[in-house]
Amino acid sequence: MNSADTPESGKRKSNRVSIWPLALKELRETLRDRRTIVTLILMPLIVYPILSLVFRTFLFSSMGELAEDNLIRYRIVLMSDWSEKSLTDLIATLDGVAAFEKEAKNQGRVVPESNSDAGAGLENPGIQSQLNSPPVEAPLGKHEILLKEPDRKDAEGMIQRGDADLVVFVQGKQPTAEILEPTELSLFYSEDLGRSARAATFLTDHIDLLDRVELQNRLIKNQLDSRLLLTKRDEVIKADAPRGSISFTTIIPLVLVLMTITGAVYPAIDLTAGERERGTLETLIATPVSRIRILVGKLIAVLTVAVLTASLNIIGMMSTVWAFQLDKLLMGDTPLTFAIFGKLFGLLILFATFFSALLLVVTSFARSFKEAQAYLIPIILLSFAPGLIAMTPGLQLEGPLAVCPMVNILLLARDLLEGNAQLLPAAIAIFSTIVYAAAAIGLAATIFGADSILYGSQGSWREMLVRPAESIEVAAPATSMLVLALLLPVNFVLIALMGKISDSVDRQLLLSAVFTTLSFFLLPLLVAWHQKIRLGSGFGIRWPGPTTLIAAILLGLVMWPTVMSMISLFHTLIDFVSGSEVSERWQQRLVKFSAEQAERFRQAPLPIVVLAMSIVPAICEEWFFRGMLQRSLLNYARPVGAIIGSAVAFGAFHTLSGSVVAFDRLIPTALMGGILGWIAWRTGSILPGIALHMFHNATIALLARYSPQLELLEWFPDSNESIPGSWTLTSVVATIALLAMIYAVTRKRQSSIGIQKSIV
Amino acid sequence: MIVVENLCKRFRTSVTSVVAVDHVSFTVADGEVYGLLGPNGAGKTTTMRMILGLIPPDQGHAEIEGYRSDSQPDEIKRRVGFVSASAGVYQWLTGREMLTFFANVYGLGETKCNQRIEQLCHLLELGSFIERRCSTLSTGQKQRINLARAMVHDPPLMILDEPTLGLDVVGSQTVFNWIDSLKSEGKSVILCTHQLEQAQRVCDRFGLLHHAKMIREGTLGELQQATGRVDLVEMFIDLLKARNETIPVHASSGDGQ
Repeated sequence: MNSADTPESGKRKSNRVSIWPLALKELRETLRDRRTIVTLILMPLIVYPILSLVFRTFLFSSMGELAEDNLIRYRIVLMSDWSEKSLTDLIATLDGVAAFEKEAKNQGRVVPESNSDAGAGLENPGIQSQLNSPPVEAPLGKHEILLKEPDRKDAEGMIQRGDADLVVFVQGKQPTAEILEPTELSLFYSEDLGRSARAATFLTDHIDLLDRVELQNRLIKNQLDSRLLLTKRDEVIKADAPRGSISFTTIIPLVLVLMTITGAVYPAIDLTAGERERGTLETLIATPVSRIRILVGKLIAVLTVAVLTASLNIIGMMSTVWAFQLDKLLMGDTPLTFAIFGKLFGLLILFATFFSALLLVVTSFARSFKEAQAYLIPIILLSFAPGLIAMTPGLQLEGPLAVCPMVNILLLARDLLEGNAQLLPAAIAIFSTIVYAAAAIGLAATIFGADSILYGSQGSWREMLVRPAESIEVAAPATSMLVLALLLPVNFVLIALMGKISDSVDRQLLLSAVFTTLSFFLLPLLVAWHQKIRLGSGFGIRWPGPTTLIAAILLGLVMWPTVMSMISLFHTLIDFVSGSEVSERWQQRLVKFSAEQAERFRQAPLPIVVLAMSIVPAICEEWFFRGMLQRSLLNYARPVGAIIGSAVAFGAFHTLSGSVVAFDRLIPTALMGGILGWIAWRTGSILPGIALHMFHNATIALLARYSPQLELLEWFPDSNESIPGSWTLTSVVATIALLAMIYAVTRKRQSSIGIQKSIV
Repeated sequence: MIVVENLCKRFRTSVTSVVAVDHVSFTVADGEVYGLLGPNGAGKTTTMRMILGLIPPDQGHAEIEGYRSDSQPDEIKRRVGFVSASAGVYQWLTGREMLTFFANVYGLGETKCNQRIEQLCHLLELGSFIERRCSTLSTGQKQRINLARAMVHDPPLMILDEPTLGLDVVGSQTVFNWIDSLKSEGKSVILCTHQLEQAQRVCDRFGLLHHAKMIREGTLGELQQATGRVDLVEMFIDLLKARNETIPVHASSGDGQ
């Protein structure tokens, strides 16, 4: 130790320790642990072969067309005016030429080549392999073939409903000894449905082969004496995958992601909660290394194990798919190449970084291995949700989905496997995941090694269930987070119930008021009673002063153009990011939703509209979001963090509430939540927020209700027009002025007693 | 020189609030062994953690060689070797790997690190097990690895919180012999222990904590004069009696955490 060091030089020397010794130590600890090895190596070695066997069995049995010969049977519909015999002859001819070709190939004889080489390459045996029909399909005659009258609509419908894999229109005169006209075959199929596309390819191969054989014969004989010369026309039909069908290109990334999670879970727990349990965490924290460096060292170790798991899983998956010859079956005409897996691997590294950081956030909270496991189980189960969302047929990587954690990576991986990845959404998905990973690392560093976690000075989860002996000022963060977690499912169930209980608009509005009261007011109140939380301090019920209250009411009256402009701005942003088509779709949905709401407001009596849309939501939502939640967070985090936390929760609830996920409401609602949160923090009261919220909602509801009358009077733009710029500008200026007024009024109080102390 | 001035710490939970350290002040001179003694829950461990900068004090501060633990905790940590009763070892690392890791963390170069490990091997007799994984070591061997870990960067101050907890007589004797050697090297030591006879032997001065407060401080002679008792055990028993009489003073006695 250099005794010449001075207190002044000390600051410069801190945090000089390299991260690598830390990461190396963590890796040694993790990779020597046999539990890690089990997850890392045994899983890919055992799971994939078993999965492949299950897939193979499931796939074949679910197809229902596999006979003892293990060949796939397609459902093919032949639509024609021909006689049954002619059609049967046609099938026999197609099968015959295929059988001839197969036999010729087996005997090493020459068969005709593909069309482009028909004239020049008849002697070239190198093309023969391309002429093989797919080995897993039965001869044409053994497929499930149905003969019907020609009906184009019926043909399209059968494909779309999944009643048939392929519909073939056989057109032209029935072949006879005299008729040598070409027969036109129109193939109706969908490229969106794997079986349908494969059935079309299968038949096309037969048609091409027959044509080439015919051509060869004619060339040899130098005369046109064949009865059959088929011309083919593709009729590609847009069809969604039938309900219940799952795209394997979505399952593969999902399996890899879940395996990566599996690999990361154990080291994440062991290096945080495990380290604390073994008593080495305090020793580590007692060294002159910043907690963020310690955490990054741990992150590198967790990430390495996760990536190793991902690599072994990819190798295991590739080997198994090839060994079991599942590649063509699962992937169709898009082969699994090293390039695709390379891209997939890159995505997995990105995802693993994000998820490892997320795991460290959660496990840093835990004080023991068991506690960490308990926290992670819901996280892992929850991670299935985005996985299932990403498996929804027809879902595109665009708009908000491009920034939705995990869903974006899964959709991008699916697109990569299908060869449809678009640059811009891919870039957005990658960038947003990097941002989330960085945010998670930052959050984990804040939590990790905090004395509250290390020495347990803050309330534990268990304490929530114990009724305290004495009353307390505000809810513990764990308590308010639990209420928040309970509110999400409760809210969804109640909203779902609303539609079932009554069709009448005014009853639905009243039910909405009752349900909002139950969930956002009574549930927090019940918890507050159980936890002996003082209502005044715990929910911020105090007189804010007349000036603040008036300012809040005025804000409620003037803010609506600002909020509406923010929604427009959000659509412009979507337009910029995902293109005008997506933006228009979102906008149309919003216009439709707003029109429906306005119509509901017109149908119901005015007092019910005001009660259900203004008074009840304002009181109940402020009661929970700015009252219980924000005030408990203020006791734990910095004001800015507490306000952002409650605002994001507020925005997320408004996004998820209702029958549709309205992402375009997230940012404006969260910003509104931020303003309400700031006012609640400045004033130490939820009353100004209630006033603002109430008047804002009432203004919007009344404008919607009376918009036809206002439009007639030319006081209000009609539904196709946007809010005039001058209105927005006035609204923004008035909002800023009123917020400044609240700031000025509350400044004296802030500086004299300190806002946080006054709240707590 | 270690200066502890007016340290206060209150732990709050959603249910209750506990005063763990209540305006505690003392100093430790260079080369002095200071015994911080008191019954369980008196606030010794919390005081040590605040000195080291692991917990921010609500009030007051600790200072080592002019660095304050609340504003420059990293500099404090460079100058302190910390051994706590709950300190564990890295199960999957060998003793040498663990010592090398901490030497790297404290910024020791390879040569100096190797030299230092050899010195510690000799001092604490680690030679027979330093190459073994820590999971295979006995409790005493693990504690010796921990003592070596705390000294690997040769700090001028050692903070020892119950370093003999769980050790047998021989193991405890090894630790106290080691404290003697620290003293002879001129290092300052803050020792927290319930082995009062041994503490009486190795410590130069004592601070008696009770109910989060420093109630007695001084050399053994000064304490004897103030309490009328001959040894620390008798003084300690008096403290415990006083504690039983005044237990309702706090909402929760807890462990001071």
